[in-house]
Amino acid sequence: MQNHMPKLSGIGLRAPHVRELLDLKANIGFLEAHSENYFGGGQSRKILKQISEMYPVTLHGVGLSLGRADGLDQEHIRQIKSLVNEINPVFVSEHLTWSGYSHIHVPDLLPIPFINEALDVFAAHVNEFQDKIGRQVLVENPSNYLAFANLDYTETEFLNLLVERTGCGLLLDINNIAVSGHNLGYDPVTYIEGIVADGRVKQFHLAGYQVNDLENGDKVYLDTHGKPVYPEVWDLYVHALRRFGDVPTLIEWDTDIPALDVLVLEAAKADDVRARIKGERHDCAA
Amino acid sequence: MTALRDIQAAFMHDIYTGERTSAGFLDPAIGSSARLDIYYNNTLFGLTDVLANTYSVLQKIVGEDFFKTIARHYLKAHPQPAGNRHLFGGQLSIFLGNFESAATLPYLPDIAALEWAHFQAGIANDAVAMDFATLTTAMSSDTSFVLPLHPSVHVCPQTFNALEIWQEHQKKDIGAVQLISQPHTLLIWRAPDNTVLMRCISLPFIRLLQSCQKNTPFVEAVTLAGDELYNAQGFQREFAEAVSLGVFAHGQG
Repeated sequence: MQNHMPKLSGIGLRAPHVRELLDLKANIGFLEAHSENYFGGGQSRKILKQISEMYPVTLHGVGLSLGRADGLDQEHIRQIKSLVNEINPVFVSEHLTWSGYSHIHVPDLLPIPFINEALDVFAAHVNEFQDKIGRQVLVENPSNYLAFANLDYTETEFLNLLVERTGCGLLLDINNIAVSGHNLGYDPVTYIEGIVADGRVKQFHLAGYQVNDLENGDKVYLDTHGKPVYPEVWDLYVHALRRFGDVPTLIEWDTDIPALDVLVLEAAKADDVRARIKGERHDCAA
Repeated sequence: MTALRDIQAAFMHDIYTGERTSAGFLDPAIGSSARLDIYYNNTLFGLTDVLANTYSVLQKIVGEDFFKTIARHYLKAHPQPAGNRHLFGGQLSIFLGNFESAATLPYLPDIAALEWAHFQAGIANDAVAMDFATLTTAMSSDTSFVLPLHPSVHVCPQTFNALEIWQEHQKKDIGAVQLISQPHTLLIWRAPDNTVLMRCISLPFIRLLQSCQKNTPFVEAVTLAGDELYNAQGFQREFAEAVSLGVFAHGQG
């Protein structure tokens, strides 16, 4: 499949849908594969190759740990590079997080303290990763549940500086903006307006969240990817489309995975919103 | 240590222990310290899921609750070693051999070793399987020819009849299997059609595989494989089947 910019919105590539996706050409713009699920070889890798011959594919990493203080795992980069060469993805993306330090890792995306040292480390790692795979990388804003003290930057300042230092692009996860906004007490619209709108935002993610009560009575919004996109996230999406323009959008749904039709409909809903906002822009230009 | 290393070391410690040594780095205004539990729970549940995915028969045998107990103890002793989650869980067989709560189930280490090898064989790097024509040509033209193993090959020593137990647990209606102490060795690998196969192998064939693994020239490896009980015909049959089912490779795919 040609490495072209998909016009329609995409969905995540999940095991329960593989057979259906191979048997019929679903009306979606692209499929996002989690890079680590296809490391090595065997049947999964073969299926991803088949899928990539039918649909544009993006590679989304969850384990490289670009924010780690002690250097990147070269074997991890080699595996991603091998996938990039074989699949020719539309985008390669990672997270503004870390998940490993000193030979110990977690299956989670941990928050970065936005201090000068972290910016130096993160920018050096993005540069190294981009150089080694020979591609621009998109960095995604995470959902955060806590904040660090004594910071040098806000998250949006950190992201803007990261783009300027590395030439990376941004993958804005609108649901994560809403979730972190609730958890850390900031205004999601101010966050969106804090990101420079100069073409650096290359992709959007949309997803559903869940609200949990902690033992201390605190309410925490969790980025569970297990529900339809909430109305407040659709509203923020409209705001983001108006600010950053029309870029490929992905519906993320990783837990309690519904039938493929449900995901395709959710992606079509994103396309309707995109078409409406595009129309507004044309009306304004006229 | 730099500030970032201090923060990450303390944070990682807390995630694996449930302690709050990183609280001093966090913003107290939004109750960040209590929210460390979210990351602790994500790791506990996430790594338990990774183990359950790899060790599905083990989980069926011991039940979900005891499996969670095993997982909780295991991940503290052997944290996830790399960002690639497929590498987490490789020490479970050895761990179970020393896990007192599982002492009444002495065959669990065998089941775990089998499942780990089965899972790893399924995702090992691709390679082109060696065929008889290429093998014959290579052997006749180069006496120092080395026969590489397919990257998916695992040689798995067993004490009990774990393969029989594992096969029974693939069925919808699982029947009883009598536990038999039966020391033997399993060869576990991925065939060219991507199915993972398991076979009981003979001692000479184990020696052949070990020599191949050490890059010993093939002619020497065959000589080393034999002993006084060596059955040349049986060995040839075993070798021929292994070649036809992709146990050996002749290049990366």
